[in-house]
Amino acid sequence: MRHCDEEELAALALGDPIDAAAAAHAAGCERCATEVEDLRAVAGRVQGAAGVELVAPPARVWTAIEAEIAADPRSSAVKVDEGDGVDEGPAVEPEDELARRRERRSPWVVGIAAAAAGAIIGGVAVGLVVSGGDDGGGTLVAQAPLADLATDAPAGSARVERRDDGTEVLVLDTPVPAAGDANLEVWLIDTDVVGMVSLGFLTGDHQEFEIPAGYDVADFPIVDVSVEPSDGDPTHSGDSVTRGVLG
Amino acid sequence: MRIAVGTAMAAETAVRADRPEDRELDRDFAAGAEGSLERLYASAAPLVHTLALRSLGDAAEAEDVTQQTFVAAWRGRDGYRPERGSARGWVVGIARRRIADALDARARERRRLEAVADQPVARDPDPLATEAERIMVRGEVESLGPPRSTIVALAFFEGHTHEQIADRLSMPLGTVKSHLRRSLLALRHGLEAADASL
Repeated sequence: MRHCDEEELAALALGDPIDAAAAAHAAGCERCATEVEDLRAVAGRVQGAAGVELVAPPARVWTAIEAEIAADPRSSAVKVDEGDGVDEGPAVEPEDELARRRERRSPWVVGIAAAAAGAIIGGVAVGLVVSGGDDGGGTLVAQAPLADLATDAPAGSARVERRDDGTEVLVLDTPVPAAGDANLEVWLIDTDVVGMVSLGFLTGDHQEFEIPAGYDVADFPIVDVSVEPSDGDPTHSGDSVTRGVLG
Repeated sequence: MRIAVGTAMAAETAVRADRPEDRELDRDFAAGAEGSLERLYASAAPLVHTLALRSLGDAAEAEDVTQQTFVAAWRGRDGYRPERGSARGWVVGIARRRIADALDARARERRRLEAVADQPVARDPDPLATEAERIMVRGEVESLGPPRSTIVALAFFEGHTHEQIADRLSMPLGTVKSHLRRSLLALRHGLEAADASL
């Protein structure tokens, strides 16, 4: 006996009568019964969507998307491949890397992936702590007072300096908050508090962190220190203790 | 075994033949083809916007999330794998994470204002997942196009019998039933593709 065809399976799932021989087969065939169950589950999911009305966004949203993409030289590569073979794709962006990172990848993998895409020169510098000390070696790019988030009390300051070789460093002068067994991690976060990059762990009250190439502090102006339990999860814990906004 | 494989392949071909434009869009988008973002937007923006609107409850924020989601999707299209699932599902997945982050940020801000710093941020992604699922399904129904989308809505959302639908649409009963079967198969295929990349 042949298996039921998909029309018959769908009919059975919908409770419609089908050809007697096919119905008899389906009653005794595990494979066909499973298919029917599967289709019934789909029908159940569809019923579950009752009452949902889709609301299309206003036209200005698409206009804004087009404008944003057109304005960004990194992503306006709406290039039509000329067909001479390999499409290298657009440069990998910090934001995309962040999206991937939030899917629980190690920041090291991100650094390496970005380097592979040519977005970071020197690659694995992500997260590496640059030696402390040696103030005044660069041009001041931005600075921010820091505040303790629990009390709003001042908690030192942050500066971004550009060195002669073009690299930027975040210099933190902040008391190290008590964190017990957990680590304190330093982040730069975008204004939507969506994209973020880890710069490394805070271990002293004066410390410098190299900012990975490709991250513009104008886009990631929020300096954030979070308490990170040693749970192997590389994403932000959501437990911030110190913050400031570079300007 | 040979029969089973043959049937499965036939089913696959038949269902895909119903909506070949979806797979084409997935491939075009992955390749960064001109106009593919606009097509994806036309197909997925109502889903993203509705999810944002219902989850965040704020029109301006919902528009913002919709904009961010599609800009991020375009910039991150290298990370999309058409063989894994539909671009529509993938975009809704991006929106879901953005909305979750926005809700988290709100919770943090609220907590900061309330100065109860030692309470962990409550994060329960389940309502959002349920909402995303329902909206995704609604989108798949929508993409069946008329008259199937109407027939499915009448049957599954409003609980009309097949006879009532035939009557209402002045359509032979057999045609209604046939549309419903084809729709159910197409929906299964569409939802599998969406689930895979959500």
